[in-house]
Amino acid sequence: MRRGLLTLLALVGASSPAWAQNQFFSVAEAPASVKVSADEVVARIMTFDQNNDGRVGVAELSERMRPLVARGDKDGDEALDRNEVLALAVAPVPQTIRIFGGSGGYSFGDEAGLSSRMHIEGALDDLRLTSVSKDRALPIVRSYVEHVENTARANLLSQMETLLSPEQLVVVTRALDQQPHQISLRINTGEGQRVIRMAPGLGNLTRQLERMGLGAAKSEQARAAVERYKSRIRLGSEQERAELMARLNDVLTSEELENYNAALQRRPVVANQFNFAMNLHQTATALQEVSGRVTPAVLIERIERLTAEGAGTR
Amino acid sequence: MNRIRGIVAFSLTGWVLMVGLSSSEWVSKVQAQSRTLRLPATPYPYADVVLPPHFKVAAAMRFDNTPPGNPVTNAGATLGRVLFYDRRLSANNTVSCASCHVQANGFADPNGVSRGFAGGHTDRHAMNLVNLRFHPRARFFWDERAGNLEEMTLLPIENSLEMGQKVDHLPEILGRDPHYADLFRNAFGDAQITRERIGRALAQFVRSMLSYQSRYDAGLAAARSIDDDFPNYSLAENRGKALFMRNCAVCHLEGQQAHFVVNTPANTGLDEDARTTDGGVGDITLKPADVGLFKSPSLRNVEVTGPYMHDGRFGTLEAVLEHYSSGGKNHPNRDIRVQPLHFTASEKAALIGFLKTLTDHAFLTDPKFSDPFQ
Repeated sequence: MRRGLLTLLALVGASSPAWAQNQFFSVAEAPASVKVSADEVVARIMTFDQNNDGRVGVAELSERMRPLVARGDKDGDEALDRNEVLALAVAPVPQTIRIFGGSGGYSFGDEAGLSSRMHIEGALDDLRLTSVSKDRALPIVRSYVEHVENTARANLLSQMETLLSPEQLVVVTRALDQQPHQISLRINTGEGQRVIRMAPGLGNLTRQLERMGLGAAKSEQARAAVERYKSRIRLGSEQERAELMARLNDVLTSEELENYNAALQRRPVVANQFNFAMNLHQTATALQEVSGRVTPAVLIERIERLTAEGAGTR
Repeated sequence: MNRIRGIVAFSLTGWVLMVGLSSSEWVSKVQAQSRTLRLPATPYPYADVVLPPHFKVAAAMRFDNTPPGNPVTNAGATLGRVLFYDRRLSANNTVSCASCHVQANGFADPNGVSRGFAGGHTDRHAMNLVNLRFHPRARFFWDERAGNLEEMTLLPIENSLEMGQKVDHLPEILGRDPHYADLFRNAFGDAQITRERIGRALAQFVRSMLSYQSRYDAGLAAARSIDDDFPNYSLAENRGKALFMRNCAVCHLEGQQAHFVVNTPANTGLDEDARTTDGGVGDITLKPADVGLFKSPSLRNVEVTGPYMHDGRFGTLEAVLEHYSSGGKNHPNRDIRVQPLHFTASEKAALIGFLKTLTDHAFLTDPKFSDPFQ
């Protein structure tokens, strides 16, 4: 029974990345960008038409591209015309099932659940300070995080007060309370110890708001308020960062200060595996509360074994 | 019976006498003929290499693309090694695979683009051959046009610019050399030389090229985890490792700690124009989403595998880091992972320091991968 449950969870989470992103993961969409169109592909291939006869023959293509003619030549003239190139460009791409590692793409860490606290403290850790320096710097950084989070939280709640009922506000407050806590799981996999660091994402909050049926206008305002909150806790305001750097000035060298400032302003990108593991942890935690038997570590270890055995990334 | 025992040396002089050759052709023929093959009495151990633990975890082993029908054997890889260095695989006996894939350079070409058998130049850099066994998609070349190593190894031989040789002619050419009969017999059970066997032997040799003895590997073995400082690293190298793990590992070390490969081809914002620059994978699939995507080689030994990128445009690691620091150009297919990182000068130095710990001197000088012709 338990094996069946675990397997089901693994397969549901791992083999349906599109579904998972919409329903299970709290992954923000990548910034919209203009992609290459099929017409542009056609235009590119037609640049190889050296004799301007409207067709690209084998001899006009570079050697590595010549198999294209055999694939796309429908009228038997041993060349590709525009329509034949277009047909190749728009042919459906075979779908493959991908598990861990490129399964559902990538997201900015702060949008996928990597907490700002984890980012800000992690960047300090990356400096590899002496223990004396770190002991002095860490309280300053933690105080900064607390300040940024509290300010952002207060701003968000004050905006939400105008949009939500008192009951709804309680739900949002509870969801916010989950945000800053980082979870580290050390799992003995039998092949060595694996560390998975997770932080509950903002997906809960976003989903809670979506479920409240606020109506289009209020929903949009709530969404915008959450985005401002996310932006604020990610980086703080420029003034807040300047104040942080000023406080660290006596602790860090100028080089360390420069590196820390640069690191804070980066937005690490994470694989959606991270998000998958994070949501898995939340699911497992809920299960544990119910059954008292399934632990996150057991579940994640099982999932990892299943996906490794499946070797399904091709 | 294995007739290649002891130091087998044989001269290829007199292998063939050509008439009517131009002087340069004659010189090249003589050069090819005068090389002497030297192999050890006991074949080098290519099979059953003992890899460190971080290669053997399931997450790393699933990168292994060895097909069931062509496992690496000592005799098969030995034959592959001889073929890899044999200039008779080119149309005019002037170049071998090793002409562009140099061991000291991680089997990459130290030149930006490579010079073919007739003096022409390729338009892409000859990428390194480090740990090709551990590429999970098992697709090769910058544009991933080869579906496995067995296929990949034959394509440069037949390329009209690179080696210009008809692989179908090789059984006859190599068959004139009686020593190949022994090599093929040891590898495949009989002396028959076929196109398929040439590809399989070369693939075995390439698949045996495993780099796993760098300072990184030693450090990981000595540390509690990859996130902890490595005791054999300097402070700057540990800082570089931390920066790498935070900013680069999402692409180059995803889901495992051994291979330093990017699992799927990517557009890293090298060029802006999707119409006129090298289309990479898109030129093979014609899929709009593939335009400008390229396979990334392993970062192992990256210190010596430059120049970098598919066209060798960056001569130094500093230039590569500068590219990623800037975030690259705004190609419509640029990968979401390629974002401006704005590394400081000392961060760049630390990152390069870390990357240099991936150099595996044992691999770069291992005699079992060296030229057997002298």
